[in-house]
Amino acid sequence: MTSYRRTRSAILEGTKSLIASIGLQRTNMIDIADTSQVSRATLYNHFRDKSSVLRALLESEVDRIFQLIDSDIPPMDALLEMSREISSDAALEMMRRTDPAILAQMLTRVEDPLWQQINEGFIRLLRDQNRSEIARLWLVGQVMQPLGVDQSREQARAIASTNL
Amino acid sequence: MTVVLLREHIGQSLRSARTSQNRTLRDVAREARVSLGYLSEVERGQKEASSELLNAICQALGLSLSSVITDVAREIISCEAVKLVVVDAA
Repeated sequence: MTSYRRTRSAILEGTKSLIASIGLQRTNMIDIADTSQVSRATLYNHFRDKSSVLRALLESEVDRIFQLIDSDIPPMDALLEMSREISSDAALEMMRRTDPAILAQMLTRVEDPLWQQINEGFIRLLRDQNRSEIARLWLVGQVMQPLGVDQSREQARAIASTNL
Repeated sequence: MTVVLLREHIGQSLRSARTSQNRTLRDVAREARVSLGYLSEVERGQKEASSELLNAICQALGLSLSSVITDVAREIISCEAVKLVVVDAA
């Protein structure tokens, strides 16, 4: 990884841990720089404002879904992994308390091209339109209402193995 | 008769250790510095982990190599015991 990319991913990681501890609304550029251990100048070199940091963070989170889809693990394992990552995500947990409106808005912005990409990814993983739609809605639901480990496992199995 | 494969038992043991710690594939793979797909293949018994990588995965899970090997040996012993009973009966 180049040092530019390393710095960028440190900023995104710092931002995420900041959201996990104080929520999205209260997160600002100064704290992002401090938590990520970069200077303010460096931060502004990478991102012009808070919303562009957040956009990049969202894209990198979505990218994690694609890493799973492209890693060739069985669909059931991929769904289970996604479910556990979403249901146990500390930043989402904080946002459910501090920024539920923003979270809901993010999930319903269907015109965002990221959704289209996610849809295509799920079809690649599950090779079926209906199954993909169910899986996507199942995971979206967990952003607002996380599942326990056993529920994740049983439901991932059900979605991956049902004959539709 | 099913053949007992060492790598399948190792994989099962690693997977059950990971899930009992409530950890994701990604989390353990990152800590062990292996790819997520590779860890998944090792857990499913599809790939033989090299000694180096097995060490790394055990370490990421906070397990000693000996405890994993002991666990696996115990599993294999019970599989073999079942088979011997079948052979005796025949």
